[in-house]
Amino acid sequence: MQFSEDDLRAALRRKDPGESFTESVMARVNQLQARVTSTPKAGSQLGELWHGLLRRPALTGAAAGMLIVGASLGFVHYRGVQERRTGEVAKQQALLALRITNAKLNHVIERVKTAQTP
Amino acid sequence: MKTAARSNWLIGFFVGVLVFCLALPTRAQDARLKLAQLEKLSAKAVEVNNVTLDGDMLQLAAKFLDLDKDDPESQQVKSLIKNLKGIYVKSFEFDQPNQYSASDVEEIRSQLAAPGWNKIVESRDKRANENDEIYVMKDSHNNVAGVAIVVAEPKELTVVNIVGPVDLDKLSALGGKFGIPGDKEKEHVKKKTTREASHDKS
Repeated sequence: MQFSEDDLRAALRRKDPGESFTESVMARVNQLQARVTSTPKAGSQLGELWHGLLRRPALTGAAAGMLIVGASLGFVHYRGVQERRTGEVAKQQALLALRITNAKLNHVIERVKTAQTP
Repeated sequence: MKTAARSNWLIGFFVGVLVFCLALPTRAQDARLKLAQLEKLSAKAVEVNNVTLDGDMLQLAAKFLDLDKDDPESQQVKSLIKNLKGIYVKSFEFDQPNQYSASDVEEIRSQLAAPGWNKIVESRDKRANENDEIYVMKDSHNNVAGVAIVVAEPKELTVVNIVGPVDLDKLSALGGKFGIPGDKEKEHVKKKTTREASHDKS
């Protein structure tokens, strides 16, 4: 197949794209701009952080591990404080009960002894 | 006929075992008195001491007493409470006499009239209007399974109920130990209170 010079000239001749061409290009540009601006709005800083974490799974794992360990340590400490407080209350209650029992027991024994003495 | 007799025997055996199993915990809880009806006296009393320590709390208290391992007195108190199943104390002090009724005390006495309880000490003083009683419950092995002390004075009513094996001699000898004032301390407190009272009058 051979092309003549006229064929080539005709092929490279300027053509009018028509009025709809500008509209379609502008519509495409607007669409791209909307996509670019909508991404940071939805995620904001937290989204960026989330995407950043997803890009670094090792860092994410380490952060999650630290969070779990921290929460567990906090819970264990809280439980310990609660148990210490309850234990101290129980100890004081036991001592109070024994104090009253001891006093009343000795009071009754004393009264019986006094009644028996002529 | 033989099969019917055997099945009857089996049913009887299982019913017997069931009744025995149900009776076991009931027997163990016998030493616990119902003291809730005394709660109403709290409103009239000027001083109320209400202690309710069940098994778990007693074990926790024993654990905390055990922390003072070098202190023999703490160990003595711990050894006294470690096998107990419960300590229940209700003590009311009133500023006027006759703030509680005879029926309040009778309600406690009626529970102590149940089988198993034995009154070991009774002291009645009509002049002072004071009735003191000590009851002990013993188990089938003749071990102490519970103690009840009822002290009814004109301006004071105290009911102590200890559930579990308790040594009354040890309990009585606790005076002066681990914050429990002994006779000397009690005398000192008494004198101080009397002095304060006379000072207030003057």
